[in-house]
Amino acid sequence: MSTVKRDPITGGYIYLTVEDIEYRVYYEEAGQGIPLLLGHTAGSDGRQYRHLMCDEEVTRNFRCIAYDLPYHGKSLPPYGHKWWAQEYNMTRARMMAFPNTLSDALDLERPVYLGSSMGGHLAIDLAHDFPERYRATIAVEGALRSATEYVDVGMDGIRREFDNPNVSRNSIGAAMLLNMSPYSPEEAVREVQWEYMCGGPGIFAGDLYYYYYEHDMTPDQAAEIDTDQCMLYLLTGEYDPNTSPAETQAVADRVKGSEFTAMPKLGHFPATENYPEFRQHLLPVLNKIAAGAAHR
Amino acid sequence: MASIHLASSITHAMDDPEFSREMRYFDGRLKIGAYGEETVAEFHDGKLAQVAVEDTPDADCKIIIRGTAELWDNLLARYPVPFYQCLQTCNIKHGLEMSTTNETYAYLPALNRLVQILRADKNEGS
Repeated sequence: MSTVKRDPITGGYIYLTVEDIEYRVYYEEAGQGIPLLLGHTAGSDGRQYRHLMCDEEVTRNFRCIAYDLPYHGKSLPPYGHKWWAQEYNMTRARMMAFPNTLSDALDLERPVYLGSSMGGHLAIDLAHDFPERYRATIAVEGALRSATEYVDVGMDGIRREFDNPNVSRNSIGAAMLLNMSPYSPEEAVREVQWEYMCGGPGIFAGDLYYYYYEHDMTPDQAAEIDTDQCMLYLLTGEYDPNTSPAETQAVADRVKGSEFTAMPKLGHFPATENYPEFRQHLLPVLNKIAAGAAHR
Repeated sequence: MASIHLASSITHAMDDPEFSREMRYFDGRLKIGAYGEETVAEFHDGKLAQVAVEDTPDADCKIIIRGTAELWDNLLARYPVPFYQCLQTCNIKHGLEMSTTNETYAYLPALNRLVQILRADKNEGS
C-alpha cells in the first residue's frame, strides 16, 4: 500500500442566509474540541490557515473551521441574486453576520473567533457587539481603526489602484508586499501574493470598505468590551503598516483585561507569511483558552 | 553605504526572468530618481530600448519613482526596518514619490522585483 501525503483538512459547503440572501459558503475543518472560527483577510480566503490547520498542537484541542466569505475562495457569489448589477462593498453588519450565522448553523457552543487584518478588526467588533456568542476573540492585526495614511486615500483612490480595468489582479498580489516582513520566507510571501491574485474582481477593494471605513471603533466603545464575558487577545506584527503594534496597543490600553502581544519580525499576514514564527505567539493564547475551558 | 548604478542594474535586470516577464508589453519611460541622479529607462513593447542618466521631463514618463539618498539606503538595506520594506510603504510612510498612473499600478510586480535586484546589487559582498 502506497503512502500518500495528505493534510488532515476536510471541506464542504453550507447554505447560510444573511440579510435575506442565501449564500453557498465553503468551509474547511480540522481537529476537535473547542470550536475555533478562522476569518480570512480582505480579498483572500481560508487557504491562509492551511498551516494552522495542520498544526497538531492546535488541532488536538480545537475544532478549526476556516470559512470563505461569499465572493471569496470557493464561496461563489449568491445564485439567483443580481450581484453583477451592483458594486460590492463589505459592511460591518454583514462581516459580523457571517461568523454568527455559520456558528448557529454548525451548532457551535460559544466558539473562539480568530481573524486577521479585516478579520482582526472583526474580532474586536464581535467582542464588543456579541460577547455572549464568543468565549474569546483573537484579533490578529486588529486596531480601533486602520492607519490614517491609508484611510485618507479614500474609496476612489482604493478602487483606482485595486479595482481598475487597466490593471490586472497580479498587481494586487504585488501590492501585498507592503504588508509583509523582510524576514518572512520568500515562498510564503509568494503564496500570500498568489492568493491575492486569485480573488474576484472588485472584491478586495470592496472588503476595504469595511477595513478602512466601516470598522471605526471609538476608544469609549472599546472600553465597553467586557473581557470577563468574552476575552480579547491581540497579536500584531512589527512590520504591519496598516495596523502597527502602536495602533493595537491603543486597543489594549482601552480594553481592561485584554492581552496584547507584539510580534517581532512578522508582518500583516503572520498565519501565512511565517507560520512557524506566528505559532510561538499563538499557542500560548490557545493554551490559556483551553485551560479556561478545562476549569469550567 | 555605497550607492547604486541604476542604468547597469536595469540592464542587468532584463536578464532576470521575472523582471523581464513582468515588464511585458510596456511602452514608455520609467524614471527613477536616486542619489542625486535621474535614470530613465525607455521600453518598447516590453523590451529595453535604452537606459541612461538624463533630464527627461516627468510628463514624458509613465512611471516615476523618486526619493532621497537616505530613503533609498533604508529601502535597499538587506533587512529594511519598519516601514521601509517596499516601494509602497516608503511612499505612504516616508514620502517616496511614486506616480499614480495606471502603468505604475500595472507594473508594480516588475517594480517590486527591480527593488529586490537593486537590493541584491547593493548588498552584494557587504
